[in-house]
Amino acid sequence: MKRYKIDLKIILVLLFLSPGCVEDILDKTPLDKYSDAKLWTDINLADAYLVRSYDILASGYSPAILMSVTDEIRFEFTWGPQNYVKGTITPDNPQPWVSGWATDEFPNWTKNFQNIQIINIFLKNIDQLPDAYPENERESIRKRANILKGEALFLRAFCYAQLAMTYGGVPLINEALDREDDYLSINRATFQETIDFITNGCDEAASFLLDKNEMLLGRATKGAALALKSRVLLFSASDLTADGNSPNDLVGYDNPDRMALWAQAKSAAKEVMDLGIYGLSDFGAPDKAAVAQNYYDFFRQKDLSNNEIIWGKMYSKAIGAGNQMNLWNGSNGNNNWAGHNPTQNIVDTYQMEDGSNFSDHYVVDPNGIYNNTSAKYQQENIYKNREPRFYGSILYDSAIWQSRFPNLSNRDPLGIYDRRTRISIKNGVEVSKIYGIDTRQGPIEAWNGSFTGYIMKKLLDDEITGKDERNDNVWIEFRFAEIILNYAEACLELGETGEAATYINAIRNRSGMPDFTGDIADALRYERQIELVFEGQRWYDIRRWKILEDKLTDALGIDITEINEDGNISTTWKRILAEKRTVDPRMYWIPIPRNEINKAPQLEQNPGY
Amino acid sequence: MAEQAPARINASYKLESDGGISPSISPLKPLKLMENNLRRQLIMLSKRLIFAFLIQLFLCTVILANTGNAQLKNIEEVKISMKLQEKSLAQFFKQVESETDFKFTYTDNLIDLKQPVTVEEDNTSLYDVLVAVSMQTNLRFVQVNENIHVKLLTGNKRNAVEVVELQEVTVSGKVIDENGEPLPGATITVFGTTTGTITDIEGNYSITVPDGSVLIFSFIGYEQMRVSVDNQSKIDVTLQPDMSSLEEVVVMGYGTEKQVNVIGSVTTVSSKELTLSPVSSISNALAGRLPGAIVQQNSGEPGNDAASILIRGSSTLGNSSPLIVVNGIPGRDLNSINPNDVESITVLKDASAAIYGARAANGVILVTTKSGVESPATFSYDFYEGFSTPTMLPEMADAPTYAQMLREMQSYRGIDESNMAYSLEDIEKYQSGEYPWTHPNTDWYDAALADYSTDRRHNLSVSGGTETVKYFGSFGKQFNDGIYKTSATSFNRYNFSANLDVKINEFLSIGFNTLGSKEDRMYSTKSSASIFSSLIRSYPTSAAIFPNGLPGPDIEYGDNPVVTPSFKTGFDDDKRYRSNNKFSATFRVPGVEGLSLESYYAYDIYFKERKLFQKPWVLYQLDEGAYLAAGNTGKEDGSAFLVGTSKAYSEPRLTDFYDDSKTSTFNFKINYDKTLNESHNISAFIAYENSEYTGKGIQAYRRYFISDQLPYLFAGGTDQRDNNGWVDIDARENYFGRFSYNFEETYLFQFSFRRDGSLRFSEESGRWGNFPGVLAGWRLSNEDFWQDNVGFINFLKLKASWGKMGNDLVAPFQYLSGYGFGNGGIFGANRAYTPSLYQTGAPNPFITWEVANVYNVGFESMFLDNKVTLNADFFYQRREDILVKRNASVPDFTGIALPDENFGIVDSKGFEIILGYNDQKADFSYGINGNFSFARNSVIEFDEPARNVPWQVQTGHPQGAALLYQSAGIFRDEEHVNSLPHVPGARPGDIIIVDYDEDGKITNDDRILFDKTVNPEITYGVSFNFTYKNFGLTGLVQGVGTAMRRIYNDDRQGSGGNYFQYDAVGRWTPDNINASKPRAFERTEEYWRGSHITDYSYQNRAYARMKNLQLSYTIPRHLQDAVKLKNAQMYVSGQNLFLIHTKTKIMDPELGSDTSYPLMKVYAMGVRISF
Repeated sequence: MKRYKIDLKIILVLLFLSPGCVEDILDKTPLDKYSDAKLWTDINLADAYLVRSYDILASGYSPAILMSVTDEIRFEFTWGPQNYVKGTITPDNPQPWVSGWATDEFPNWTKNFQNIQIINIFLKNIDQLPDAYPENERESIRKRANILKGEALFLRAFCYAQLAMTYGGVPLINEALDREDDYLSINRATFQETIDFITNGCDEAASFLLDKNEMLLGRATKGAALALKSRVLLFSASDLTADGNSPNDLVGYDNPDRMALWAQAKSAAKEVMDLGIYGLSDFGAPDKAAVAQNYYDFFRQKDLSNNEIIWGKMYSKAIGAGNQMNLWNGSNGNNNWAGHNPTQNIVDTYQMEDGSNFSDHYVVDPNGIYNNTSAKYQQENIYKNREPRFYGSILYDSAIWQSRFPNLSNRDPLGIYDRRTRISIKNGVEVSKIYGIDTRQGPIEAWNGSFTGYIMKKLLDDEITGKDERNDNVWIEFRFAEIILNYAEACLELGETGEAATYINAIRNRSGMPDFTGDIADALRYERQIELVFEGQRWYDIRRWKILEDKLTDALGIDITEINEDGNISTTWKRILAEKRTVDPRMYWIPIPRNEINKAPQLEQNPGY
Repeated sequence: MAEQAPARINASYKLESDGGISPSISPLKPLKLMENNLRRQLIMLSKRLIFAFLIQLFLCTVILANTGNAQLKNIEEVKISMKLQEKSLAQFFKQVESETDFKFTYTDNLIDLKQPVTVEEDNTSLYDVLVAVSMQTNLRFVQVNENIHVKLLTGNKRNAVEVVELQEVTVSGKVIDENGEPLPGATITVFGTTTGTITDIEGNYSITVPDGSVLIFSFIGYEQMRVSVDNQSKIDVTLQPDMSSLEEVVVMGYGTEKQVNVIGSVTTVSSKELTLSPVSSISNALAGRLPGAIVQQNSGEPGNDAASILIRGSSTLGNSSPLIVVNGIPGRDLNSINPNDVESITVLKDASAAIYGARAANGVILVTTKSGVESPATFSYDFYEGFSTPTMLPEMADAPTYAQMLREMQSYRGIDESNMAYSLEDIEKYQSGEYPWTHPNTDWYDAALADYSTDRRHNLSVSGGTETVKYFGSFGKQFNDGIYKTSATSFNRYNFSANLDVKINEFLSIGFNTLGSKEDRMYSTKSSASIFSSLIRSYPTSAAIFPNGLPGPDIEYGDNPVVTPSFKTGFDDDKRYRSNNKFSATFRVPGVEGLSLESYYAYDIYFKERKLFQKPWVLYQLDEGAYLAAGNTGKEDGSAFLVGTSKAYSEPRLTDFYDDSKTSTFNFKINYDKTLNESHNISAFIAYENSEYTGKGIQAYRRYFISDQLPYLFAGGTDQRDNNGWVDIDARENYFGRFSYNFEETYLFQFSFRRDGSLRFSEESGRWGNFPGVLAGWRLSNEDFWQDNVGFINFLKLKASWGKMGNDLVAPFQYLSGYGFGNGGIFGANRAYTPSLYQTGAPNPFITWEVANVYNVGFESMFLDNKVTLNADFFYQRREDILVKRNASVPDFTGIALPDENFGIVDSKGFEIILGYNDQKADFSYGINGNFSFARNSVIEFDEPARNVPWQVQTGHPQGAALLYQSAGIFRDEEHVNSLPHVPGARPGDIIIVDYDEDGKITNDDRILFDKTVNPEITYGVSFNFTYKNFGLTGLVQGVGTAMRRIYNDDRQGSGGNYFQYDAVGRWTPDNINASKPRAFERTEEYWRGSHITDYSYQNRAYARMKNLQLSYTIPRHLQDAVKLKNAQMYVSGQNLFLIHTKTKIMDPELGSDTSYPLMKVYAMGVRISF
């Protein structure tokens, strides 16, 4: 009995001890990834691969975007954009043209080239992809693959356009690079070669792409490819690169044929106009109030279906893919950060509703006080009787914005943007002084108050309150109004003033403004500045027009004081310095980061750095 | 593992062999007695013990049930059959014991247990068998009850075997030490019983025992001694000092080693040291006790307060976490283990770790939990109640100071009086304190934090066993409370541990070990970082709580830190469950001495569920305009003018998380241990091991809860609901072995080899790696010439080692071109989300692990009668094949996502020195033990891009060396500014930056590398212990050196938050131009706070602190005996008691950041009882 028991135990143990048949536990592949082989044989996966490229394309909303380095905006915070407008940008510190949480949407060197490599890998593989499908499916797959190829070509051209308009000529890479390649022999292409590469890319993309009505909204379209070409050709034909004074051929044309360049720019814009599916949206002119509202609402759209929009980027807060434009730029009095502060400079640029200049009606005295000198508009308040787009773009003192949180709704039942300081004087003694809720001395997050006295209204959404909710209004990259203005500018430069005037006035009239008076070139620049305000075009415009030194001057703001002296109320609007700025001619171009030149010494740095 | 000596087996006794009529007190009785005596005491200590007692009662019942009262028989009546041919005496004893109820007892060292006996009897009386054995061995056997006493046979052989009736004798005598000094307090117990006594102050004792009993003399620090009474009435005993530290066994990877034979750089911390600190995470008990380990605690938050551990610094640019091995299973969690369950922690720092191959390069921490020993059931109960309070809190500016600084800051910006945030009148009002409604002066720490929080631990364990079954079981409960006044924060951990070793028969043993834990972490929905960030930021000029009790306003996000730590924000309920189980078996191969097969299988389960329920809360703001307009001044009640606002979230929302993972480990090992000619000691094994891991998780989110009563998904709205998941795998397969040889424990040699395979790397290249280790040692002090010449050095061992090890803590599957899911896009008229795929890093088919070549030389020594210990180790490590990207050679314009490649090199070197002095004088014993470690690394290769100037080249400097401008004081005035190169826009009161390259401008090139990093290069600890009679005092001083850290991790001081008092005192003002600190500043707008960070923003992290102090009192023996306790001790203990020196002026130097939950100073009182 005992003997038997021992044997059983030993048998059991020997069984337990034996390693048995171990399957090869190391022979496994990841469960959360697709392999190379799977990706390039499945059109849906290839499609998703391209979505990545859309996602990292530098265009859309982030806490700091391109308007922050122009005369439109005094940027609230000390990082990023201030490095440029204070003139301290260097190759060692090329902020804000580097990726980061706040400046993710700035078009920069590294990010665009990364995207180009991603796209080049796609282009290398997409042509063979349909072969992986059975014969009977191959044709339809190839059709889809070709459209994807068109999208990829557009995305690559878009990346190069951002690079060219920021750095000038750049290395042109049209196939996927390998780690073993000799990078030291790759040099910057000339500006001309770079522009040609982009426009060819746009044309090729357009040949594969369908237009907006046949594509999924948000995907690249034929119209987008042609609009990009129009934008790039307008840029390259302008003074910065084509007036014959460029320091070298990396940042401009050698011996440019100016007229030919403008002609190309014109026809590129015309190509888009001739597609026939885009038009100017109706803002309800001549009803000025309606225009103000509709202009504002235009940028609050949630999708890209409007026929003025050629291409842009959509957001959806329902699935956590919103942006936070309100939080980043809304008023401190609504617990927001007031990041991009519109300047007094641009506020003063807005015309009066009759098309006359603001400066015809108000003068600024040596103390900075605005004095009304107008016979027609006898309002002390400088925000009265301005053109409709002002009311749709800028949030100024006492303008209605959002209802306040309960703690302030007694004080501010209307929900205005409250920027005035109210001083009460009785019998010559100051009895109270109350700072506006949205000032930098206000009761709520004063340290986030706007420096200029304004915050953006355009691109924000008054229906979104607090810090918590996300925005999901679209980012519009190309819209028909820009194409019209591109066209008008090219016409003007070609001497076709009549054609130019027609389109300039088309833009004005649509916004309830009368035909322009005075110099047509000024009128054109005014329309571009006002119509496209905050849309990211201004930085390119003031550079290509070579007016950076004139425009990137000190940023101004407003200080408003309302004195109630024994029942008599008087208000003053005083212009103040909101930011000291320094401009240097080298700032027409952005430096190639020092680290990059250290790695690739053959790259020539941009002038002045 | 070495076979246990038969003597030891025999010298212990069996529970079930208690004869019932024995005059000794049955082991059951003390338990029963104890119940009544102790219950009252223990219940007084805590009501929570009832549960523990239920368990105890249950266990008693089990023991009762197992203990029968066998009828006592005479050796003449017991018949036995056996066939032993030339087998050892020990084996004979064992066989008799296993077949009868008798036990042999004898005095150690008098009997040669190895002498051979031959017994071939069939159904013969035991009496006759013993006579036969007596003839062969010249031994005498005397039966007293169930015991058979074995003695040397002298005189008449006719009395070789006899049965004696029980007789009580009184024995007295004196216990002295080796120097002839009396030993007071020495314990004398009767073997096999709990009867005993202790010596008096003269070392004298007297005890009445049954004749034939064996007395056990013991005293702490001395070797135990056994003496048979044998009718003697006077027994004087000389106890010899316990050299057991030389006999001590150290847990090594896959085995154990006698301390004296260890030739690696190995440090061990005992369970006793671990439980000195009243802390919940084991890692926090290690600081200062492990030479060569950098242990830093970055946060004191309950549940998140574990320290990070680096062995010999950071030797890689990648992950430098050491490998944690718990009970032989690599990769288990350290901090969820109950410190009371740990038997020892061993750290392998050099080639001794090479047996862990590809995971060993960062050092290996071996944790061994307790198991049972052969003894009657011993219950231990430990309890402490602790009171925690922050070690150091930042001192913030008060309201008048803050308002004044803000005015200064605004004046430097040219803001005119009318636009300043605070007027001079405001400052006066803040100063006066008479206007609580409009001008409060708030100390936020005071308002938000309680004076202390409580910590508590209960631990009940039972341990014991017989020759065949040994068991250990324990339950522990740890509780830590949050320091907030209204606290949602708490941490509860429940530990369950059981260990069972069963010897099935002569050849086969099996074991079962389980470690279970449940951790409940409860927090508010605001992180401690957010709470402490708002504590330093909140304006002292705004009310934390209005005089009527309502909470005041936030700066933003609803962050009033009086409210945010509470359940008003919802809750974050994080529960983690671990079940780590191991089954093992050892089979000694019959017929081949020293050969055994061993195998184990471990299955570890981890499960985590977290419920994050966020809801809005209300904060109040005074409508100041209306309040003042109504004629109030700030003194009058403003309740009617407080307006509440709902903060943070517009409505309640819930996120549920479920994560689980499973790891299985299988190990099979063939051991061979043999001693040849009593001088060649061989110990070897070869083994196979594999492990597999799978992990997965899901999360789900809903918002728009109509009420906060039901925090479950179904009660939420369906709009904007969201969910996600993850999955992860890992596997390893390893072959390894070790060969150890020593000649007379003097010449020591060890070779280990491991071949590791990992699924992280490709089959073609990199999956498999070989990791050898060679160690050699020479114990000079064993040599005759040594003992003849330098005998005062009692012990000296030289040792040297080399090992090649790997580090595989890198992302798996980098050899594959994989595409993971990334941020998607919104496309289509319905704005649908399309996920994107992106290449998860460029593939590198050659990718493999990092390789470390570790060299170590050292010595261990003892002087002056073993009172002085001096050990030193010197190491050099070259870590190669570190995964880095070819940054320098691949320009960004290629757009190539660079793969990791194995080419980085980091060198590190350093040393550890241990110096100790331990002595014992009569009833006073004391010891001081210090350790000092230094470890420095330098980066040799990481493909550094070209730098503009040579002094910015990081190669050759430690990892993480900071590139900073160098500060050189403060600009006094305008003239001073103009006299020196300065940043454009600099003004008086700004920090002077050194123009390092002397080009007359402050440019990027003026930044220099500072070699001190956040990781200290120097760590040291000094522990001391004094024992006088029943009092004990132990302490630990711990410190670090050569490290620096950034302060102002939250840099919103100015209009965005309060200033540190540090920045207020002695700052530059127009009236104090010879200042050492800069002017009042605004967030990051001054160049020295934003674009030009200098070393002024860093502070020296060096510190020394009284880490631990414990004063204990052991209840006198005779009192313990009265209630039948084996041990009873009360103690008071303190952790992080005070900083002896620190250079950091703002916060505790050890803390991670100025927004971290503070480190806690703990005062605890506790008891340890065993019975």
